[in-house]
Amino acid sequence: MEAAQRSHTADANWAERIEKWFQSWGTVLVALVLFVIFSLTAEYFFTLQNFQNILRQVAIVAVVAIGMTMVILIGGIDLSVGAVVLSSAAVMNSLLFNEVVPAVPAIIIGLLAAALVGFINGLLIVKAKISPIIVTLGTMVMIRGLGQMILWINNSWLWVRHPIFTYIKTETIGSIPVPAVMMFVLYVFAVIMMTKTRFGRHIYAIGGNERAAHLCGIPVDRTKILVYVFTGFISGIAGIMMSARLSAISPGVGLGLEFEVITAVILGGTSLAGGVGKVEKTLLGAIIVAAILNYMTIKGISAHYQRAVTGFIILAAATLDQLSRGRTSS
Amino acid sequence: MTTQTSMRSYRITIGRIFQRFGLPMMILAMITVFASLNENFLGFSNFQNVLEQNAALAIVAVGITFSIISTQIDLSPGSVIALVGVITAIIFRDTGNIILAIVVGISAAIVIGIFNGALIAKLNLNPVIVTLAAYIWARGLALALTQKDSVIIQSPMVGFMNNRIGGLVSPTMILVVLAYLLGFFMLNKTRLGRYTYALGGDEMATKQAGVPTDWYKIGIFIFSGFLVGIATLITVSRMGAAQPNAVYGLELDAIASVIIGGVSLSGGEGRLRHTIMGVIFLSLLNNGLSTLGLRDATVLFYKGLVILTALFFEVSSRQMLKDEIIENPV
Repeated sequence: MEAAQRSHTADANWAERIEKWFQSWGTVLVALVLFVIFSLTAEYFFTLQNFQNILRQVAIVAVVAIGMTMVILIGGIDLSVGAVVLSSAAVMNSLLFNEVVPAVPAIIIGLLAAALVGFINGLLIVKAKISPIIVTLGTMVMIRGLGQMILWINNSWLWVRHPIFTYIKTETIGSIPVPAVMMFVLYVFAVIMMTKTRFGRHIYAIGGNERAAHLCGIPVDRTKILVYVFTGFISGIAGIMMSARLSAISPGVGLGLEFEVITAVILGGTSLAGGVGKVEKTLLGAIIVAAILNYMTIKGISAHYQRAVTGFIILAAATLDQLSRGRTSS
Repeated sequence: MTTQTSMRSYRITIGRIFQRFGLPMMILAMITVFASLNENFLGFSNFQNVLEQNAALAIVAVGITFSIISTQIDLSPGSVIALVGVITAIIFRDTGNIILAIVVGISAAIVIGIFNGALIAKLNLNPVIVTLAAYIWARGLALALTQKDSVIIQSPMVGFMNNRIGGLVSPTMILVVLAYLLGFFMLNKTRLGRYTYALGGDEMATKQAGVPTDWYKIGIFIFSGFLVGIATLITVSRMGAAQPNAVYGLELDAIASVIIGGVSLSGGEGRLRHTIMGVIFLSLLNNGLSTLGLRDATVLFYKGLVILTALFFEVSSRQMLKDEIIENPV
């Protein structure tokens, strides 16, 4: 019995190794293949200017996706991020537009407001034990309303005119656009946080088995609330980037952003069941989506069909992921 | 001993009072507030309006009840209504045959249900991912097929659906009642209903008992697809046109009303009467806020706030009840 098992293992060894390799490098491979195909079939795709475009497009989604990855890792979800991006941008710009405070305090107040929304989400989810999807659904509606109220006080549109936003919008550092630089810095920070700090280890432990994590003495409640606070905060940073990208904040800003972000996280291979996934792969997922959309734009496909295709990309990614997982576990 | 047990099981506790009367009390409070702010709120014609305005929500909520009891949340209905409405309108525009258009429309809704159900049941994909993808691609297709324009439907059907027979009931209202009767029958009298509970209670055990769970999962999606088709018919005939941007966020309203009504998101329990109460709550909220003449932003804010409060009471009363049962086992 044991011998039979051992020979079976030897046979499966190679297949297993390939599958393991594919599981950790599959997303990279898919990204590379897509970039080669796109570069060969679309003339304009492989140019510095286009790569800058892709990076500008991806930055906001990718930054919010850092928080979303952490939320999904602990088995939650956050639908309120789009509304938080709107509200924090509205707070910052209304303070600046009406010249209440200088730039730095205005931005800090905007970020704190965003973190506060995350804190409310976390409290309701952890302490009142309401399911994350429902809580963040409620805050999504409420915070969007609040953001729009701030806009309404300012005649329903807010012009972005502070030089700090113009700088982020137009400048590049070593030919990398400033929003993309912010994105890369945040990702480096997030990867270090997830792999080297206790907070990161706690996140994986809670996602793997919350009960066990609790029994091991991990402060489950505190960690979970902190994850939601962090997600709110980083959505606030995305609010800065959103202000920079647009010349005016309108009531529809960030509408549906939560679903783009979740797409990036899923495409990066993070399991919705929690505990499995990596932040850096989410960045890759976000870049893949942006590259596909960019390619379709170059090819003259309408934005609406692009949206339909995005839906099918999610299905394809989930199917591939499930097939590779399914075989390994059996 | 026996009397003691029965005494204990009928003990009146705070959790039980909240569980039983919490929502009716909140509905009463809401009616009082809206009636004092708006004298027409309690009129019979407003009652008819409430029913007709929220007919699509009420019907979709029946399907969502099945999905939530069986732990397969469905985020797609709003987008599917938009897509199916567009398909129906285009077929009517090109053929002039309203019966054909309706039949194809409802079939399309069912086919999308089968597609989603098959991905979940046969490929083992996560329901959130699959229906999130449908939420995105169905809306994208609806927008792409119409280039974002409305398609007007000039058919006597539209007038017929909105015509109140004898000034009392319109076919729209009758369809709502029929949908609930069908829902009651399916949930309580058929195998599909019984296995809906079993799937939510313990899917593994159900499977091991020899139940073809895959087919019942797909069956639930077929049933809710059919209801989405009916809801599309109502939505389209209320507006006299198919709008690719229609009923944005309907699925979230439906999910919120099912949960507020008292169906547990963890599955396996809940009744259609819970859904009815939740739908009444949300319908009155929608109608009451819309008749106050507030800004969209303010409506969103209050709606989110009320939904969160209601959820908080619902979930915490259920938690309280659970704790009471653990402390004093029956």
